[in-house]
Order: sequence, then structure tokens, then C-alpha cells
Amino acid sequence: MTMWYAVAHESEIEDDTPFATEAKGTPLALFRIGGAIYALYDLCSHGAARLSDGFVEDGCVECPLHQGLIAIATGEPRSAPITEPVTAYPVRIVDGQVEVEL
Amino acid sequence: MTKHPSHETYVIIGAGQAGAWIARTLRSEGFAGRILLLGEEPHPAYERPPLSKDILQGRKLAPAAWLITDDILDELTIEMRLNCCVDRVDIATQEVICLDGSVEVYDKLFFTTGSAARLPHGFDTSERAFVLRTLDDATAMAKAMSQANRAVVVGGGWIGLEVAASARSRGLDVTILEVGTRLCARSVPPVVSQWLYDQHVDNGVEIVLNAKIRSYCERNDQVEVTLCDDSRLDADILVAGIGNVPLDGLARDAGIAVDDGILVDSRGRTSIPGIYAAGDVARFDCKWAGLPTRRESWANAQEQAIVVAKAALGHDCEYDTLPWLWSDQYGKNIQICGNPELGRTVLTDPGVSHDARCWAFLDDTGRLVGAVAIDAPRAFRPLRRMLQKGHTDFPTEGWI
Repeated sequence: MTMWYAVAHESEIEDDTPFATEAKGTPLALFRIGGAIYALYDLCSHGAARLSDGFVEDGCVECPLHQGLIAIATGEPRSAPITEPVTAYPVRIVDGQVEVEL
Repeated sequence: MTKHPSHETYVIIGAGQAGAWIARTLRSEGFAGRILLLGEEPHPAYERPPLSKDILQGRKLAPAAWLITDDILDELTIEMRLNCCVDRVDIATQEVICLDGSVEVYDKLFFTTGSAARLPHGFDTSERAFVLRTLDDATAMAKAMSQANRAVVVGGGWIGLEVAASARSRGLDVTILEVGTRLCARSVPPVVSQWLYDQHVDNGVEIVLNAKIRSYCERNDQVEVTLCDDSRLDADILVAGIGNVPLDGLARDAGIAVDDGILVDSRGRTSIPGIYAAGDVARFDCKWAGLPTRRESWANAQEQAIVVAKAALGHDCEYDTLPWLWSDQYGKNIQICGNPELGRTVLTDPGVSHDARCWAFLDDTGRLVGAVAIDAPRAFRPLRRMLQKGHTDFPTEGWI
């Protein structure tokens, strides 16, 4: 059964800068695009790299190791070498707290 | 978009990284015909960077390093034949003739035959003397390392340095013999060579520069290397990493233009219509280097292959990706882009942390030509973007 976990305060998540956190031992990378906040599993599906160390551009995060692109909103692969999706978690904001469901 | 009748057959010779990306891209870009991938190795395509790190340090290839799996073959309907040696290609009849006698007729043909390790003069591979090119090479070398105390590495380039670092991590005594005056001289300026030298010395590697080797011999389970100054080194294992040679013989014998690599344009087209090449084996006009170039990097094998597959399907695309490579040694990540070896002026980013480095390299006219970073991906990325976009007027403010 999934549950909602508070993982950060909304004000901590800045545009263009990934935020590393975790819930229940699961590493998470949080992103802000425009008004919305997104959460991805914080490990590239290709190499052993943290997406929270990556670079945000055009709605994608670029893996810091091999420059593969992942769509932040869905976790879908957008460029080689990434071919497998990364888990994207539902996010909601409750009283300024960012909550992630997993 | 051009129509591609589903009765056409595209054959790819070479099931390495470039071959795999051509096969996958042809399908993902809508080619509905038959795709046949022919590989000489017993393994389906995999990424080679982990060989000198993970495999030599006793780990397995990570699942994501396998570029072709049974699931992918099924999903993309790619035919693959392993342990398959191509004997010759007949461009008149458009046939690929394999050593086992089988004949495949192609509509388009892709050479992704890669490169082989160059052997030093007088060096024969054995159970104690190795080169590193394939997964089987790496597996055999790792096994030998597990029983060895001492290694000699011939060649102070990227492969030699990564082998040395992995051997050190397993506790072996290591000596690197480099014929030149500094490490990785072909790809980086002296400041980076010096940093690499210091890293290896700090980690207990003995480095001999200007090392001219006279002979190799094996005796009593030992390998002996004799230098021209009569000094002699003994080791349990010997590794040669002195560069690669392109596997272009098959293309040359078929009548395709080669010159230390198969000559291709920016779309991977060879001198024969309908025949393409990509990856280590392809020599192309590199706009960054300003001359016909082969690149033996992971990034080139992937990116050039993707462009060539798209171009073969009629897409309007050219391969002009900025050269980029990385190396991992002693837990440090080294990234290189552009052509830092052409740099005359070195600028250092003072903003990176103590153990990290980021250098920008400018040519005689002050234009940015390349960058190298050690554990500094955030400082490195803007330089890479500037180079890729052609913004080479470098704002030197803030750099020292």
C-alpha cells in the first residue's frame, strides 16, 4: 500500500536546481518546473549517477555522468544512452510541505 | 519522410556499441524492413567503458551496460548472429558472405567493425600478457590479476591508466612504461598529464617516462620486459594499452575507400552508395578537430551511430557532436571535451573544491578550444555548452 511522505518544504525547491531527499529509504530527486514540483527516483536508469546531481533543461534532467536525458514530469527516456524509464512519483503540496506518494 | 519498403534488408557488420545503436535507431525511426546484426564476439553488444573498471576490479557488467538483450531483439524484431565472421562483401551483388558459407543480400550495409588493440612490436598475448578490448579480454585479465602480485602496463594512455588504477585497487604493484615524455599526450595538455601523473604516483604506481622497450619474454611464470637502457622489469602480468587500429580490412577488400579507417562524410556515407560506417572504424571530417579524424570514444560510437542510422533513412542530419570523453580512476571522474590538446593557454576555475579541478584551454587567438574537469561536472558543463554552440569568445574574468 502506498502512503504520502513529507520530503521537503516547498520553498526549498528552486527552478533549475534538483533537490536531493529521500522517503522510506528511497532516494528522491525533486524538481520545480514553472509552478509544479516533480519527484523522480534519484538514480539514473543507465549509469550509477544521482539525477539530483544532474542538470535541468527544457523539462528534462541531464544525467551528470553520460548526458542522457530524462523527462522530469514522466521519467521517460528522452535521449541515448537512456532507454529505460525512471520511476516518477506523485507529488502534492500540503501546507507548504512537499509530499511524495510511494 | 522517405518510404522504406518492408521487404528491404539492412545488414550491420559489427555488433558492438555503434552496431547496436544503428540497429535500435533504425527501428525507432520507423524502418520496417529486416535488420540483421552480425557480431564476431560470443556476446551481444555491450558498453566497453566498464571493462577497465568494473570487470578488472572483479565486478560484473551492470544490466544497463548490455545494449542488446533477448527482450530488445524480440521487441524491435532485430535478427542477431553472434560468433559470426564475415569473410567478404561483394558490392556488385550486394552480398555479405560469412565464413560459415552463409550469404546475406543487403539493400543497405553498415560497417561498425570497430577497432582492435594495437600490439607492441615483439609482444604476443598469452595467459600472462594481455590487451584490453573485449569482455573476454577483461575477464581473463581480471582472473590473472586475482592471482598476481605485480603488473607492468605498457602505455600511459587512458586504457593503460585505468588498468593501472584497477590493478592498484586489487593491491598489485604496478609499473607504467610510457614511451613519450608525459601521460595521455595525444588528448590533453601538459597540466592534465601532470595531474594524472601525480594521482598515480600518490596511489603507489611507478611511472617510467621515455621508456623505450627492447624486448618481451616469458620465463618461469614471469614476464620480463627489457628496456633499451638494459634495465629489466619482471612481472606476473603484462598489459599493453598503446592504442587501437581500425578494423577496415573487410571494407578495403570490398573496394570501399579507406585511409586508416573507412572514409565517411558527416552522414556516415562511404565511397560506395548505400554503404555506411560509424564508430571507431569511421574516419570523418571532424569540424572540431579541423581534419579527418577517427574517435574511439563511447560517446562517438553512440552519437555517430544514431546520426548515421537516421541519415540512412533519409533524415536531414549531420554528425557534428562535440568530442567528449571521460575516465574514472581512483574514484575520480575526469571529463574532457573539445580539443584541449590544441590549447596554448590554460585557465583554472578557482571556484571548484580543493580536490576538484576545472581547466579551460584557449588557442593562440584566445578562443576556447577545450575543457577538462576533475570531479567538477557543474563547472564543466557551461564550458561544454559554449563549445558545442560555437561560443568560443571566452570571458576570462573570474579565471586564473
